[in-house]
Amino acid sequence: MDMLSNISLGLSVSLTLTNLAFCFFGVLLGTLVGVLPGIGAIAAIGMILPVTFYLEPTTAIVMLAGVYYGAEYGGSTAAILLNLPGTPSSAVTSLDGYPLAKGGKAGIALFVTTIASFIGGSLAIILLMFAAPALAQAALAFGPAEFFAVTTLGLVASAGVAQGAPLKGVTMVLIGMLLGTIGADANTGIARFTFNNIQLYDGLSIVAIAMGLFGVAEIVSSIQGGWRERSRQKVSLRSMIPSKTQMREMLPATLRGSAIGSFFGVLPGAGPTIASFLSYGVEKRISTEPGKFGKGAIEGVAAPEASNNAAVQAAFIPTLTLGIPGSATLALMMGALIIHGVQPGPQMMSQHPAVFWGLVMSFWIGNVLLLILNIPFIGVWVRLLQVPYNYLYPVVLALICIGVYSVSNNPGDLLLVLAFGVFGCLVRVFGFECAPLLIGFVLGPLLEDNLRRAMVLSRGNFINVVSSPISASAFLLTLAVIAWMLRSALRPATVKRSVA
Amino acid sequence: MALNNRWMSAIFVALIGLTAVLGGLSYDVGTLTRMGPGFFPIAIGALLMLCAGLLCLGSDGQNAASEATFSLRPTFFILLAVATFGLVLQWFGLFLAVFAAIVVASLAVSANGWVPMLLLALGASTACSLLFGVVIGMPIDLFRLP
Repeated sequence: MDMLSNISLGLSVSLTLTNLAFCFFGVLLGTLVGVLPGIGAIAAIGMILPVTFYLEPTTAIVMLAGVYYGAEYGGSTAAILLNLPGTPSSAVTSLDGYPLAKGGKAGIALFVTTIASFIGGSLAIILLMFAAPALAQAALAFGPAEFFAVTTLGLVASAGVAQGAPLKGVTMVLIGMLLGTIGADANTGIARFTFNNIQLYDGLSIVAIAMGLFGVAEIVSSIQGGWRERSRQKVSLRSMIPSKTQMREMLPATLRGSAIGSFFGVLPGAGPTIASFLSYGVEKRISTEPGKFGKGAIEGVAAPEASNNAAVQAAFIPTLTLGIPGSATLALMMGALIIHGVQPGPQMMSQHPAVFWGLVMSFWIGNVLLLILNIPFIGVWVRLLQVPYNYLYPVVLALICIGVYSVSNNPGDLLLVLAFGVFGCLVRVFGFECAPLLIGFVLGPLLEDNLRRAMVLSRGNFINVVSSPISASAFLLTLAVIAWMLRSALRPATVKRSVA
Repeated sequence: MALNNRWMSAIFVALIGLTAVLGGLSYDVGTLTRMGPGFFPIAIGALLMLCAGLLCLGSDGQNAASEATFSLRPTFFILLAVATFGLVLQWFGLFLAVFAAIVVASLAVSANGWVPMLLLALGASTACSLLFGVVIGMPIDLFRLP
């Protein structure tokens, strides 16, 4: 069967010593940055980017992906122990995780979140294995009109399902799209907004923007926000095993979380954060005893953790098959892939099947490694949380600078980091989110290019553009997202309020 | 304070939108069928100005979201550290660039003591130079004279 040959191809690629080693290193680093508040997966990817230039594309992307989904495992550790989420998507885990820890059940919380993460990730990988080839096949029939439709969906989704008010999300997406216009116009070759600067001809460096917005600005806000004194909790292996009732409570919530997470992962632009918040809200709403949430409900930690891991794995589906990033971090990873000469998109599976299936199989390997890292070795991470942040952030900053510089050895990129660091701090004060900007930056040029081509092909007949079956369904979904955005904008009593 | 934020962010966004529209006009705009390079920037700019207007009106969750404060010291020193890295890297090479960046960055937190930070800077610059310069072999000067 076709799938078997794909699996064996993938295994033959991912089980080489190099790929195994870098997969392990990736998930290790991912767990590390996930556990530590104040550094995220995006900053970590920026930091190890120079290392990837000397690696094969497959090895590089296996490692970077490991950082990405590894971080989703680690994020819950600090959320549970310190009420301080290591990743934004773990913020909702602390709502029931921290009460569990205070009640002496930290071990159980950590165990449940790890298992839930594993189940969520695994289900999403299975989805990826079956859906991606089908989607790539369908995508080969995509013309500019279809890409325009799906890109619009991605942009609207990333604006609408962001954390803050949808209007702010839209604003950030638009700003990102505007930044994407800087550089040579794809259709005419005319340089836009470059101020006669040759270096800007290729556009802004996505690594510099990402590091400024997410690396530098994150460090600044972590320092401003202050960090608590590290707790001295000890978590023994035996304390981690949950009771039978807890297992029974955990499973349905995990499955529901996985489903929600997979959906939002596949939706281009939406990411693990909205997935985890939503699945918490769903659990609370359908629970027979909603009162127990916020006081240590097992469902309250299992569902969001399953959800964010599922979202993270499923986000690879649109990224690898359509070339449309499933989340902000993947936008950056796509940039890394392109630097390595692998163009994510419908052709990727036919032109680079070894890279694709090797990556997918490495997800399995990585998730198993993470299970091992997060259960028996949980003590290591707990102890790590006791390293003071004021020793950590200067080193992280230096590594970020090295990472950005290494991409094109261009000191101007550091200037960009500076500028976007300022910008990132500024917009955080105003209450905006940065992730939609990054997605807008990547998708904006795609949107413009495809729209122009579609208009030319249909000779100005916009109806033609939106009427093909794929475009129509994408636009309907877009309208659904817009409707949701309007609803949540006009009715403030949403999940987020009750969660906050 | 909340009111201030709302108006400032609206003005900020409006300015960006205005820049986009003005910039876009300097390129060929074209028609809807055959869009020129200027079309998209103008469209985005116009939408941004619309958003700015809507931002003035709305107050959805504004108060809940803007708990972010702005303190000068961390922001200034972190940004200065990035700038320091860039400048020192070009003049003196990687080792001193990392050292200087860490020293400057450590000033962002007033509680940081001199000695531990200097040791950290020394250790980190050595480690980075070894890792990136020697082990990975990046084409970057470790030491350079201006």
